[in-house]
Amino acid sequence: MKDLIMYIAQALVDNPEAVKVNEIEGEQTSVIELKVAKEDLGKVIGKQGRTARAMRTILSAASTKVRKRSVLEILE
Amino acid sequence: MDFIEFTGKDTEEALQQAAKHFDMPLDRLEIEVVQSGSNGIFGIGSRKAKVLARPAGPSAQEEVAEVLAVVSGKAPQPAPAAEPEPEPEPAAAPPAATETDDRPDPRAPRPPEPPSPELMESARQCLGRLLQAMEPEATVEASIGERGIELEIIGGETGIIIGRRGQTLEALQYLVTRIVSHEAGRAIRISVDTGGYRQRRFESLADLALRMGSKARETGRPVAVGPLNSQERRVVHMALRDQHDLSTVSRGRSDLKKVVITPR
Repeated sequence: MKDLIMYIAQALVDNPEAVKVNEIEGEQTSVIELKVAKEDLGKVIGKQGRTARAMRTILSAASTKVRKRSVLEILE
Repeated sequence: MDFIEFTGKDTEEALQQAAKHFDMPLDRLEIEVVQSGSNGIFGIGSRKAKVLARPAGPSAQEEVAEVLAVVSGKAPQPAPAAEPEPEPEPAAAPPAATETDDRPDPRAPRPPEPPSPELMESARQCLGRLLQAMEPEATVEASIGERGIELEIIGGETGIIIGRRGQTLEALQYLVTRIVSHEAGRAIRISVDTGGYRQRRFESLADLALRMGSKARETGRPVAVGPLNSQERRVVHMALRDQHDLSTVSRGRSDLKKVVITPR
């Protein structure tokens, strides 16, 4: 899941080297924290949060396979 | 009078729709069959029959009127209101001069954007990468068609790939479009489908639009369809674009909006 978000974020932003993804694993849920350069924040959130929503949708589709929920947090 | 498009399971049904719409026998209509229907295999690849129709009578006069208008330096549209029509049908009213804001203009040429084979390949790989965590056994085929780069997901669990109300398929298409457009430095049109889902959805949506259009016309009240995303709204607008007695406007503020069909 971490790799998936890393791939998407790096492909969307102008500063791929500034992308950091951290996965905090819980028992049923893991939280994926995404951090990007300040000027790229809009790129991973999108108009009215559309990009963030699309990432979350794909994350939850991928999570149904492994039976573990993943939550995406975008850090400022 | 513009041609109006009618669809049906087969050509016969589409023609009946046309006759019903104009309330005229078929021999008084000018008909053009755009596409005859086919059932396909197990419903995959099935096509609706599509015909264009208009009353045969007044068109010639209207064309003359248009030519005269052009000669006299006036815009050919809208057609003169005092047009002699064989029957007073509201559908025969001249098109209104003002178009609603996000209603697509079919005559406006799309910006030329022939996607290169390299972009097509990177779109294919991008979608493959997104699917890896979700459906590792799924593969992607790419082609270039009328909807830009067309990606087709083969195999995998279709239900998971499509998602509730198509939202996963939508998210995949959106992200691939974003990523490839970012890479190309310009907007690239990409369409993602699996097992003909999108095609079927668009067709049933166009049918729904026509049915709701008739309902609005019969009841004289506005009818709302949706909530729909922008592509789906486009299908509704396009399905009703030649029915000049109906106007379609998108209502709402998120990327999901309703389309309100209003009888003029």
